[in-house]
Amino acid sequence: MSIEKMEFVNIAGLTKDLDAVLAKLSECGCFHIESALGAGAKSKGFSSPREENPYNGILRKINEISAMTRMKSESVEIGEDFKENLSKDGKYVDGVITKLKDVIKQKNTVADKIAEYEQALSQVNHLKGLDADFQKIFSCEHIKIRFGRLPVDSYRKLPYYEDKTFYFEYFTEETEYYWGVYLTPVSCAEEIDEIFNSLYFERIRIADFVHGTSEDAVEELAEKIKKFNEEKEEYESQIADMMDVEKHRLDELFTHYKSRHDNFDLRSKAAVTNGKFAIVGFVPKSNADEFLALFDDMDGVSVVLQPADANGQLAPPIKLRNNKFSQPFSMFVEMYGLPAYNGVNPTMFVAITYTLFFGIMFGDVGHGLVIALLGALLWKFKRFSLGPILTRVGISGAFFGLIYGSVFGFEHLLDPVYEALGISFLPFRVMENVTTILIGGIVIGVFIMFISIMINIVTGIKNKQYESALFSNNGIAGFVFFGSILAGAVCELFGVHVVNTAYVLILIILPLIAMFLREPLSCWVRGKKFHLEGSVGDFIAANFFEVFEFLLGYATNTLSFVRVGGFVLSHASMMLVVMALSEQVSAGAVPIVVVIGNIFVMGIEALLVGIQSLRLEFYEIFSRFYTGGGTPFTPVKINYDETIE
Amino acid sequence: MNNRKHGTYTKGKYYATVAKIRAMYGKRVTAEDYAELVTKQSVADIADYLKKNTHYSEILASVDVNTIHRGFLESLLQRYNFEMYGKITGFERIGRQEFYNFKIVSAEIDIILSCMRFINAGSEGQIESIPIYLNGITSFDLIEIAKMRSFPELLEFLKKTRYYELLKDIKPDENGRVDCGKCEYILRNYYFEGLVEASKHYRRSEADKLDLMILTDIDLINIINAYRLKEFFGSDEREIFDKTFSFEGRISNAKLAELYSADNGEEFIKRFSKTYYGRIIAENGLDSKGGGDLELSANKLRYKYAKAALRDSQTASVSVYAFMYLMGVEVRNLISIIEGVRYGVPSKQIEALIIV
Repeated sequence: MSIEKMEFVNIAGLTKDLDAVLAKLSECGCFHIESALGAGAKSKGFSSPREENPYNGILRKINEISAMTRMKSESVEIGEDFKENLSKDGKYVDGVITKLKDVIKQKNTVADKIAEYEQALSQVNHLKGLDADFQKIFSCEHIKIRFGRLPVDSYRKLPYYEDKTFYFEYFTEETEYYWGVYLTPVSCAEEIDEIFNSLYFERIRIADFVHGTSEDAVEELAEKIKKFNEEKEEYESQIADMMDVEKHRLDELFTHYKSRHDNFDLRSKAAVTNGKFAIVGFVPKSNADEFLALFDDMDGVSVVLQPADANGQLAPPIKLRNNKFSQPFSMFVEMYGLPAYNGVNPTMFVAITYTLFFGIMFGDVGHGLVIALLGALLWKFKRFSLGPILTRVGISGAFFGLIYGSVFGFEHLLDPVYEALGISFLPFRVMENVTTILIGGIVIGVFIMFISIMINIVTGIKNKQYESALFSNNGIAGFVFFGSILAGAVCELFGVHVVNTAYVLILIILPLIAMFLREPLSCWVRGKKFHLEGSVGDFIAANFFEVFEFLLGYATNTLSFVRVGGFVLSHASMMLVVMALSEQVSAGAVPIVVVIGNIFVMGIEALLVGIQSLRLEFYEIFSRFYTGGGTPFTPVKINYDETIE
Repeated sequence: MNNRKHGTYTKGKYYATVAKIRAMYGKRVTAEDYAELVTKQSVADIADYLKKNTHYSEILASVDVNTIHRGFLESLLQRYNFEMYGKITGFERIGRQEFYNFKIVSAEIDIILSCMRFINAGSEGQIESIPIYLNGITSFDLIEIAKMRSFPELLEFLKKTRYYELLKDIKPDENGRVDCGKCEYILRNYYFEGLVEASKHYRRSEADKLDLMILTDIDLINIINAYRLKEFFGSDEREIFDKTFSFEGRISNAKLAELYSADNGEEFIKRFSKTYYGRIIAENGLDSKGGGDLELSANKLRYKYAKAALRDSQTASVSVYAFMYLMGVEVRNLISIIEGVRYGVPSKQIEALIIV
């Protein structure tokens, strides 16, 4: 469980081989490219090859076809007889677009008609109840007829106009409107139109193609829409047939030119001068041999592998090496920030502690198994990255559920099993051992804090960061101080008197002084002279408050782990409430209360416990030894999912 | 308000109503919303924004924002304001208490005054501005009042209402026109008297808070009216005093006399800045440059007081009064934006009118 060791790669060759080299780098899947100019090539007279990507055009056209047909381009196996000819292939794609456009135009015309007829149908639907032929109505010579909708408030005002010559009839009503028609003699039309206008009447124009009574029209329009839909489907099937013929060829072109395109883009990372090129990057040490073998057949290309830190301007990328159990938890580590190249990969530590915290706080056999199953399903069907984590922590919850003897909140369901097996110390009843649970949380926390401090000491010494490893609150001084305080307190509690003047002076005061003087002391260890920044007073004040903060930190970080015990109790208490509620309802409703209660508790507790465990990881553990800042290892490859706009 | 049931409403503080009002206030149109709205290019865009992002989505649900008429949109916003009032007063049935009739009385007065103005103008378009959704709630029929074409006709129509006694001595001139300013003074004075009287029926502490809020409102309305009379009509001290609502607020009569005796609007503003309210406006940065903005500054102060009252209030009466004032301002803000956008007023100018 460490960080993959890297080799710095320097590739040089003739410009004519550049494309071939880039193609090999994309194919190998283990090369992390860096800008050669950024790595110092600029000072040696190199420059960046600035050219427009010649494959943009054809890829845009293929993309246009994908958009028109809503069929995504895919990478496929390219046939042996495939030969690149950009101009010929471009003409072929243009031909497909022309053919498609013709059918799509006809399809769109039908789609527009459907929309038009559907709008008319929706309008006529509002006029259901009008038992007269629309055409006859519109042919009236002496009466003006206006269809539309009138706001409810305006409808209420109509009695005001009782002396005016018009007749309004509504057919349907909505929350805010009455759909209907008003009729008025041609001679009064202007005045009545004005009145209805002031009443916010929204007129609708009944299309010419609407015939018969409203009932007839609805029927006829629905029939027409059905016919148009069939016509539309016909065009869609024509497009599908066309694509059946062309799709493979188009995908072949897409695969070939996308790979050429992405490789061409990589040229921007290379540096060129006088017909020569240089490429730099990193390759994992474990892949170094197969990587070198890639270029065996390229005589003019030299590949030099050097230690990862060979180029001072480039920090090696980070590839975490994890096993199957810890792999999903790398998500949390990446969320916090990747470790530095010389740092430590904390994924395994996170995996163990997170699983442990979650299991303890979420202890219930039933709930744990449901969460584990849910995680497995989410991963299988949705590739949800939290899924495998849920599976692991769910199993942990189920395991601790066995210890607590809790199955879906039934605290006595496992009693006969333990009795039959002759296990007398189980189940460990949560609600009867509140103090033990809370103290247990702190004990686990303290243990984990010590491990975190030890990791910091080891990595600090390895990386020659003496201040952090020896004299900081997370170094040897802090370890001795915190350990001595706790050991002294525990011993005194159990009647073993170890705390005396020497104990206090050597194990408590001395480490405190070391923490206070950590900067000058680390200079002394390195053999360097310590330069005081500011006055002595500033130094004393700043370090006094920092040491004071360290002391507060020990106390708050330790108490923070009480939450582990707290959530054990909260889970049990919430289920207790569910069970108490189920006793209050009739027998028939008991299963409903129990099921809904369990779902509620499971949902809310899983969320809370998940967040709290992560909080403990990030705040109480990572802060002791972890420094992020690493760049992820991203091998170059062809991205077939990305489209060219 | 006087014909409503009297009594001392000491039972219950209606905490649920207070909580409901706070929840409703939480959905108000925010400064960010206003900033977004003033940038809109059309009434349709505004309606679309209100429908998708604010509490007006409920009333705009079935409206086609692309075809909505400006006037219709404004009337819907005003109706929603009344619907909120109905929801609040119906929640714990506090609407039965005399005090909560203030919104209806105020609307009735507005309708009567609007009717008089139409009569004076000899115009017949009154029905268009009538809030018809109040028909059945008001003490007179709104369709019928819109049909009134002369003041005697209107007075006859109002005979069975509380407003008859107030207006019966008003005589139209030879052209049939009535003094609308005088009528407005009489009616509004009646409204304020009713409010102050109704507030006395509450517990002492509640009544005190209500009084303070109402009297502050009256003070500021008096100042706004006085400024208008001074600036636009050049009225003297006596004329202004005749149109001042006589309630004991935070400004003494002596101080008012000093204000009213100012030579012109500019002098009035100078003197006002030295009064209690003038100082508060300046301290809170609510003042704006230019004489015409005294009204805006005073209204901003009213808004600020209402917000504070709503925040601190534990009683329904104070909460309802403050909330309805705040919501009234919200609707007026939105109408300013709608009209500003409709008539192409620059967004900066519209923004200056927004009280928030």
